[in-house]
Amino acid sequence: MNRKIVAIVFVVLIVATGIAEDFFHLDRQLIWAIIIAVFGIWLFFQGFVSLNRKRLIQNIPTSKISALALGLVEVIGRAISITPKPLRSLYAKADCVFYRYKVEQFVRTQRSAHWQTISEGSSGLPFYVDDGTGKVLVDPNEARINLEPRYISSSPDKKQSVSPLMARTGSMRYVESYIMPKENVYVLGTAKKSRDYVAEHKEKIAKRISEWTKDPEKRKEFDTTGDGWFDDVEYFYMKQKAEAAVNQEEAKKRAQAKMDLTGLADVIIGKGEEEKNFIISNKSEKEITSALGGKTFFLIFGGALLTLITIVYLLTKL
Amino acid sequence: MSAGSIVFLVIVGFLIVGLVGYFITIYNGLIRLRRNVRKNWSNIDVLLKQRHDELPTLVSVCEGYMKYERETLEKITSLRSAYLGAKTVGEKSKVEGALAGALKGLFVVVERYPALKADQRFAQLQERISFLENQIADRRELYNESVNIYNIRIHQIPDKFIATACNFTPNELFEVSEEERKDVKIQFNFPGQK
Repeated sequence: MNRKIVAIVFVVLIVATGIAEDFFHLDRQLIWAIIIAVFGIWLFFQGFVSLNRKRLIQNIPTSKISALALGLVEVIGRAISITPKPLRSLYAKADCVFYRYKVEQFVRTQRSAHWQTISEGSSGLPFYVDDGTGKVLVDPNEARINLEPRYISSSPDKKQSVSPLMARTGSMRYVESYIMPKENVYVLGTAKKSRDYVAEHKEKIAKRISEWTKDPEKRKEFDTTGDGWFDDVEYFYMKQKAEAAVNQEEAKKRAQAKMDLTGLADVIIGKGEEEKNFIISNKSEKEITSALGGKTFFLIFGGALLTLITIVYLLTKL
Repeated sequence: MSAGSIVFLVIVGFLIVGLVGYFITIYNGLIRLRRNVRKNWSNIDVLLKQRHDELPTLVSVCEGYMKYERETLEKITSLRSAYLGAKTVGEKSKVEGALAGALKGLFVVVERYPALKADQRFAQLQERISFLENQIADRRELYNESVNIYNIRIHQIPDKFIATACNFTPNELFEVSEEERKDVKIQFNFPGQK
């Protein structure tokens, strides 16, 4: 979402620069210097947002899941899949409880060369976090996912690293990050009431199987022996297909719309209505705060320095 | 205005805005910490109330069987009343410690009353109270951790400057009392025994 906003702002700036240049006869370099100075100020303020997030993580004590209270919580534990078998990531085909992918294309323009995102998405299904005292569901939808890419490939089915130096225009790159089963995860989010995902998921699969058994076309598809009955193998195959169809629909639904999680029985950690901080990471709390500390320093001092240098440049030009 | 003065003014401007932004971040952080401490205490209070609500039923169930343990039962009832009068976390913590100790003692004494142990209502109450006690222990840990973070923050520089100016005072920990730490003495005073 943020990237889309940045892209829109970038396009607007280019158009505005052209207009200013053509109609007001302003120097292009001058306009860009002003834009960079404003960008430096924006970076400076983003530094405080980062500082705020760092302090929030440091100030929230880790809750035991067995005694979890509603509201903003921090939990640390092992990730567990909600399905009996773990998910398979889209490109790496690795067992995981959550995955996120990005397909990028190398683009070369007159001014720059970079990887442009063509499509991106995630598994969307929630997963459990177990800290030894209990387990809680985590809905990764809308979370700030802090995971390092574990798979970078030049084709969808083989692992071969592509560096920007080697890439040519049109080169594709498949980047994937995922959380493996039993991997330690850090979650900071809002604990709220929710429905029982597992029961609901099972219900959906059962309903789909029931619908298929009444559908003559589907009966024909799954009743491979044609004896009018589903034996164990046929039923198992149909169940697998139903599961895959439900998973796909759920992932699509999650991507399209926010799910209604209110007024339900169990507790789930997700993004709060008022509290917007929601972080999922496979790094330790110390590593996260340390990285945020560096980012804060870079944004505050870098932003100020960038603005200052641009102002000096503007003064010399004027 | 010379170019040098403009650059100087920009630097001063960034410093002022930066300092103000930094102090606002610290202030907001302290406010959030104080609210967290209160919220974590409220979460314990809810469980304590649930446990207190179970006590009159527990006492009435036990009374029918434990003719010789009136003192223990009365102690539980009086401590429950004392909790209602306690105002600060320290006072509440003290009463709670004594109450937890008394309950621990009661559950040990129950071993002498097989009929009571076999009573289904008592078994359910004991299970419920034990469950609440475990939850209270976990939430006490979380509360103490949030108090600890808050107390450290308000004594650390630069947070100390804001904390002093805005009157942020230290909070009390919900400590485990001596009575809770003590091992329960089991005395078998069978009827007729001196």
